[in-house]
Amino acid sequence: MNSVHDIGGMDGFGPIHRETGEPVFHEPWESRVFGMSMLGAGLAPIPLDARRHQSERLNPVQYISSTYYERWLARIDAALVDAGTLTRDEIDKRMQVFAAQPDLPIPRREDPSRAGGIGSILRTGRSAARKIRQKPSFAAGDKVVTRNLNPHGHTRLPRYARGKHGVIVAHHGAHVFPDSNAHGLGENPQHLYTVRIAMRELWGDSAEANESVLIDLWESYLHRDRAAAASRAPKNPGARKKVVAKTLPRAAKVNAPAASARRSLAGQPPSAAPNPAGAAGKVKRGNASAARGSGRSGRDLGKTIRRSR
Amino acid sequence: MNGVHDIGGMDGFGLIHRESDEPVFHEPWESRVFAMFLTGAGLPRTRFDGDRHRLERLEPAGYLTSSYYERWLAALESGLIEMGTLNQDEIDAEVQKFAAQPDLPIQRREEPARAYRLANTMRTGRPAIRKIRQKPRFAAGDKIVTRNLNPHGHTRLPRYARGKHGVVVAHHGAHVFPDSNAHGLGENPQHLYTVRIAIRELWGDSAEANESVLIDLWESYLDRDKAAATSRARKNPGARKKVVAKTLPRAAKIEARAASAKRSIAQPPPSPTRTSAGVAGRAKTGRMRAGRGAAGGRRGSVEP
Repeated sequence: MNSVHDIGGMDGFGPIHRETGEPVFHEPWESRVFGMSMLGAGLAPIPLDARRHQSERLNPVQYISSTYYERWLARIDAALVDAGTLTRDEIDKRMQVFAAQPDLPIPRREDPSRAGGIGSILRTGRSAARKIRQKPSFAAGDKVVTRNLNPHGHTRLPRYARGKHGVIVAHHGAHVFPDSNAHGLGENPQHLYTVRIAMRELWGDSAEANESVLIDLWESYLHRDRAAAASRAPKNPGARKKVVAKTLPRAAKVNAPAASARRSLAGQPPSAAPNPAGAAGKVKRGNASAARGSGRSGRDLGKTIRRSR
Repeated sequence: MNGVHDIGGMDGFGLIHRESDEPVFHEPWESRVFAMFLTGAGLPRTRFDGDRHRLERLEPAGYLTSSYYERWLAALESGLIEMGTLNQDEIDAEVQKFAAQPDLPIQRREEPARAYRLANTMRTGRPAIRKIRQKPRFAAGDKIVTRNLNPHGHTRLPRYARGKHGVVVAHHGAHVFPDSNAHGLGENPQHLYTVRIAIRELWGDSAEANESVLIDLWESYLDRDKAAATSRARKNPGARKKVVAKTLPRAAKIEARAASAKRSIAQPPPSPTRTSAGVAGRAKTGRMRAGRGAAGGRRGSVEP
C-alpha cells in the first residue's frame, strides 16, 4: 500500500539526527516490546511480512510521530484488538492501572524452552531463501524496467522505484515473496535480484549524475527492458539475419525461414550452447532482438539468452 | 517538495466522509482565519503560490491532523514567526489569555477601503492569466511525457503524474508559473495545458481500463513524447527530410544547410508551424522535431 511508511523520496520531515554509539534499546521498555513481538504476544504466529504490513496499516499520523519501537508496540496493540484477544478499552484500562501504581508487580510466565528457541533464531536468523524449479528470468547485466504496481496490500517495491529503468547486478536465488506471504497467501518463492537504478532515472536531471541506488527486487516486480533491446537492434538492420545463420544450430536454421527471424530466436532450442568469444558481439545483437519479442515468453527467453553467452 | 500534502495515490488515511450541504465555514473562527489570510495578517504581501508553499512546509503530522482552516491558521502563524513579527511564545501567551477569558474584547481596526477592495477581489477573482510572446510548444492532440521533477520548492506537478505519458487536451494560454512565483522568483508566465493521462499509465495494469485523469500542467513540466514520435516516423521514413524542405521559409532553409538539421529547426521563425490543412501531417512532424531540440534551451530560462 502507498502509505506514509513508504517514505523514500519524501520531503519535509526535518533533519536526520545521527546518534553516535546508538544503543540497541534506548529504554528498557523497548527491549520488552522486542521480546513481546518475538513471542507473538499471545497472537497466532504470523510471518515477518505480515507483521510489517500491520505496521504499515497504523494510522498515518501515529506512524510518522512514533519512534521505531513505539510502532512495534502499536502494531502489537492493533493486532491484539483485530484478533479479538483484547479490546482498546481493556488496553487503556490496564495502562491506567500501571500508570497509577508503577510498582505493581508485572505477571510473569516463564517458558525456558521457548525462550531458548527464540534465542537461537535471533543468533542464526531465519532464512527466507527457498529452492524452486523455475529458472531465473534475468541474469546480471540484463536491462529491466520495474513495474508500476500499486497494490492495496504489502509490497517491497517502493513507490519511488516504480516504472524505472535499471540493470540487474546480482541474482540471489529464490526468496519468499512478501507480497503474498504478508497476506497468508503462501510463500510463493520467486527469484530475487539486486537492481541498480541511476539517481537521474529516479529523481530526474537535477539529481547527481554518477550515483545510483541498489535495491533488492523480486522477479515479478520486473519486466525486461524492451526499449533498450529495440534501440540496439536497428543500428545494423542487416545483422539480424546473419545472427540467425551463424549462431543457431542446424535445427533452428531450418525453422528460421518459416517463422520470422525474431520468433525463431525466441524458440531457440537449449542446445544452441556457448559460442566462441569471437561471435560474442553478434550474439548480443541477436539477444537484443529476441528480447524485443519477449512480451509473452520472457522467462524462456531469459534462459536462452544466458545459455548463448 | 514531496511532502505529505502531495497525497494523490496514497493509501491508509481511512474513509472520506462526505458531508451533504457542507457549509462554507463550519465555525465562525474559520471565516476569521479566511479573512486574516486575505488581509495578510500583518505579513508583507505574499503571493497565493507562496501561501500554498507555506502550507506544504507545515510539520507533516500537524498537516495530516489539521482541518482545512486549521492549516491556514498554522501557515499564518508560521509566516508571522518567520518574518519576526511574532514569536511562538507570544502567540501561545495570547491564545492562553483568550482561553482563560473568552469574553475579552478583541481588538478591532476598521479599514473600509481595504475591505471593499478585498470584497471586490473575491467577486472578480484575481486571474493568473498573462500574455506572453512565446508561442505554445504544444497543441491539442500532441503526445507528451511529463518530466520527472522533484524540486525542493513548490510545484503543481504531483508526484504521481511524473514521468507519465499523456495527450494534450486543451491549451489555456499563459499563466503565472507557481514554481517560481511561490519563491518570489517572478511570475515567469508559461503556457498552461490540460493533459489527459490514462489511469493505467498512472497506476499500472490493475487500474481501470477506460479511465483517465485530466490535469492542468505548465509547459516546462512537459516534454514531447519522442518514443511516440519515432514510432510514427519509422512508419514513414522518407517524411522527415521533406518536412524541412516544405515547411520552412527560405531563410531557415539556408540556415539548415549550415547547422545540423535539428538545430535549425529548434529555432524556427514563428510562421512555418501553422500550415494549411493539407500539409498538417507533415507540419506536425516538423514541430515534433522542433520540440525535441527546444528542451535544452527552454529549461535554462524557466527554472530558477
